[in-house]
Amino acid sequence: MAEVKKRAFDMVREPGTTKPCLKCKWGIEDPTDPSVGQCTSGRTTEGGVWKRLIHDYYNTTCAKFTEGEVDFRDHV
Amino acid sequence: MAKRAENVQYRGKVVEFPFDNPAEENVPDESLHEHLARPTTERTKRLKARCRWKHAAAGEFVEDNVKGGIERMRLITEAHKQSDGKPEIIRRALGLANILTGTIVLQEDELIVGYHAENPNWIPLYPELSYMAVQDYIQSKYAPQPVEEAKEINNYWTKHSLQGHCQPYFTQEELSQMYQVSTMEAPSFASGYNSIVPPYETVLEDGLLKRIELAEQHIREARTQIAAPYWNADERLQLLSKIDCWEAMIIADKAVISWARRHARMCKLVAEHFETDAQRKEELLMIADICQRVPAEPCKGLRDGMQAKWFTYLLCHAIDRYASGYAHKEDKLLFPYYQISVTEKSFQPMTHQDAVELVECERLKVSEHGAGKSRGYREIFPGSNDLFILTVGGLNSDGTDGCNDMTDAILEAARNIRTTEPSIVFRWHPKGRAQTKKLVFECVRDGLGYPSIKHDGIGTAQMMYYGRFSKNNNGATPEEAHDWANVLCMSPGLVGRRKTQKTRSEGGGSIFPAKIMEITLNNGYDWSYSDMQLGPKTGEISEFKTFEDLWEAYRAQYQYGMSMVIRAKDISRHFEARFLQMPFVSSIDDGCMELGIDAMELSEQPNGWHNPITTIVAANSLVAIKKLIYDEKKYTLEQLDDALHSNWEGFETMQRDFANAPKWGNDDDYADELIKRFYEDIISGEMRKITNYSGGPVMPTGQAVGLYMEVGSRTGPTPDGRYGGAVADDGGISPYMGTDKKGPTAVLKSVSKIDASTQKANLLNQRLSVPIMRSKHGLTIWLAYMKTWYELNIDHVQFNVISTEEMKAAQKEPEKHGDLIVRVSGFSARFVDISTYGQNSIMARTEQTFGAEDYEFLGVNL
Repeated sequence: MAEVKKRAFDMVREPGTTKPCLKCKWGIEDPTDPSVGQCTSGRTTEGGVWKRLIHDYYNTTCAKFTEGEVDFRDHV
Repeated sequence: MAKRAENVQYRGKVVEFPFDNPAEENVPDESLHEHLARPTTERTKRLKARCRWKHAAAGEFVEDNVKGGIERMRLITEAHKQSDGKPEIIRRALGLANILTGTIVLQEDELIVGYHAENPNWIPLYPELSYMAVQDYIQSKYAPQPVEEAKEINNYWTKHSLQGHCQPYFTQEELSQMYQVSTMEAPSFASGYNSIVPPYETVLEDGLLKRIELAEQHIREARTQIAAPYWNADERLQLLSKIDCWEAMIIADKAVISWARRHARMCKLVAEHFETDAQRKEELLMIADICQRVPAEPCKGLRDGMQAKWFTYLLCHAIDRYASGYAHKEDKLLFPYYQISVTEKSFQPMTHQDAVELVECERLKVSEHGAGKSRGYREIFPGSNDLFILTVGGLNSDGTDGCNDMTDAILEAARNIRTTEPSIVFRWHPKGRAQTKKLVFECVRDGLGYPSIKHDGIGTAQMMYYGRFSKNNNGATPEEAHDWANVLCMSPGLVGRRKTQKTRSEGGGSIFPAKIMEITLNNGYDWSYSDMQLGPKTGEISEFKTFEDLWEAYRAQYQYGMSMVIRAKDISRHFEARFLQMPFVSSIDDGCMELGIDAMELSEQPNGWHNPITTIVAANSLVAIKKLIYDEKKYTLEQLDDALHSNWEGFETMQRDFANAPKWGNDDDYADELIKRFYEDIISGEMRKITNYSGGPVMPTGQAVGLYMEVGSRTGPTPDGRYGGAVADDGGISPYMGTDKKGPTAVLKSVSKIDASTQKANLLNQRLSVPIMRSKHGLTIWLAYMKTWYELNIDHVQFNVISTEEMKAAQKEPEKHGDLIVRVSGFSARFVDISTYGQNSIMARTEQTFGAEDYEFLGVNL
């Protein structure tokens, strides 16, 4: 079987983290299940967003964590 | 100064394009639309100025005051607990009755009254549908208050909700695949999303008191039959559930009458004790009289009709259960009352202008209507409230022109007041009268993005086709087949006293061919968004020795998704019939009343469909792969795989080759033949192998709404040359933005190659030049275009007529361009309420200008 090529992301699941994606400005909820999230930090050169699913929105974190919100105009 | 269209050499002469309105020569392009609104009266001008918009974008509400209300949650839960042990359908009726004891709202200036939450800035929530959708509100800034009570209520419904009933029939992996909305849309049982075509006609023609009498009579007859000698179990046990159904109808209808009459009492109270303006006092007393009579009694005039319709709308779309849409054939429904009030002036006498004002008031009520939708649906209609789409035009059931003076009033109101909602569908037939088509043109030319145009003949033939599959042999008759409206933005469904679509489980929901393309090239695995298996293992790219190998792998991935989503809809339908009955809707459906079967269970006219969205990205990708890899052998699949996983970085020449491969929409036989096969063999062919709850096939309704942006953001780079995260194609059959380079008639030629009878519908977005459309030749050119469109047997077309200059100006100063409306796809939106990237994607759509070749093909005389 061919090696599965994955997209480079430094998300890590850390139960009880104080910097969860839930509180990060780049995180938004999944369209259906609010315990799952979407990371919007991946921005394209045209100003779009290339999202990444966050399987555990409450307990995942990464080095890009920044508190706050992003205006709807800067989302997709 | 405004920009004029360039002169064209055509049939031996130079054709110039002066503006139809000479004054527009001096209106700058950047501010054209700010000069176009002309509300009919000071009242509607005031109502628009204070309109409580509920637009959403990127999952958030644009206005600050919007939030979830708690009252509906509280009242339905209270009733559910108190009715434990009663038949489920009776519990549903008692639930509605309790909700209708809640707060009613009367606002200043309005001629049509009624709101569906306890505060006109708030929206009701539906824990009995999806506990996840409500949880999303609870953990957001829109949380209903007190939030602890909301949490308790939502916890109660976790096991009782539609979502709670349906989920156990799927594996966790299947649920994760659907819920993330990347290859498939989440099932309605998880999102709470819904649609319905209420039988308005019955309410307006009969009144609810008559419906109660009918139900009481049926119960008497059933009880007599049950008690008669000689007991026969097979025949008579089935009467028990029918009796419950009719009893539930009576409970629901009595509660609705009582609720409407509370509005009457409130209007009278305010008129007699608080209102100081004499004219408004008189208006309130008239509204009180109307609400006392309707919907209890049949309507007698146009004001009655509008109010009865509005009450019915609130009940079917928001109070009893959430449903998107505003499906009805409004001109046909209201024309008898227009004749009474405007033509004959025998009851509620008024002028045509008064009727236009009334429609403007209706448009502003719809514009204030907020929906407690899940986050997913707050993402995908950016710049608007929800999908509210009414239909006009077409032919009557006797074959005569369906356009009438009520049609004109509806179109004039839309043109005058300029709101994004409700959108309008115009059913185009050659018999349609010229004065109405001119109004359609004026709305389109003014940049409203609607009416969107449907081919009348295709829609009517489709209703006949589906009727053949009726489980009780009572599908659409040839006369009934003419009575259709779009259920939401694209798909026809019957209107009338029975046989209408009552739930989205019958038709609706989406599947995403672009993401399916991506996972097909990765053995069903999603490397770019969810890092999980999203489909079956259909082979590594090394196994695709021929193009047909890839084609069949794609087919398998698509069928996996399609079978899952229809299974989800039918499981939902199964539980809707058991726990989510709608006794009020059943009471106003002649079939439900006659047969004693609830609207969620009964299906007389199948109408199964599902929406492929992002199809052209997949189609163009297949064309590029076939040409560059299998035909010309310029690249290998392995090289393509490396390029895609690098998001084309380091593979720029290759990206340009794939981006420059033949594209849809240019009348290019290489691309068009393959894409025709894709639409007919896979997109439609695989879907039609499925049989749904109603016994009919499921057919594809290609469209996009804002999902082309959302799914694009979850889709990695694709072989059409697209980068990861970029938007997908913005319609069901629209060329990808900027790739249609051979003019508007080349687009029509491409689209016409697909056999429309194999599809339920296909959305074609076209952007037309402002200077051409606003020139003195605009109407002539557009009518010729529409004639050609109709003769080519194309299902649909909708238009943006908006300049890039104005859109850029609106980006810089959004506060000055609040009236700028754009057609996103299937709905219109306020431009400044869309994300910047979304705005840019609309600007990137090809602005079609017409050249001499186009005029020749259209046969225009200029």
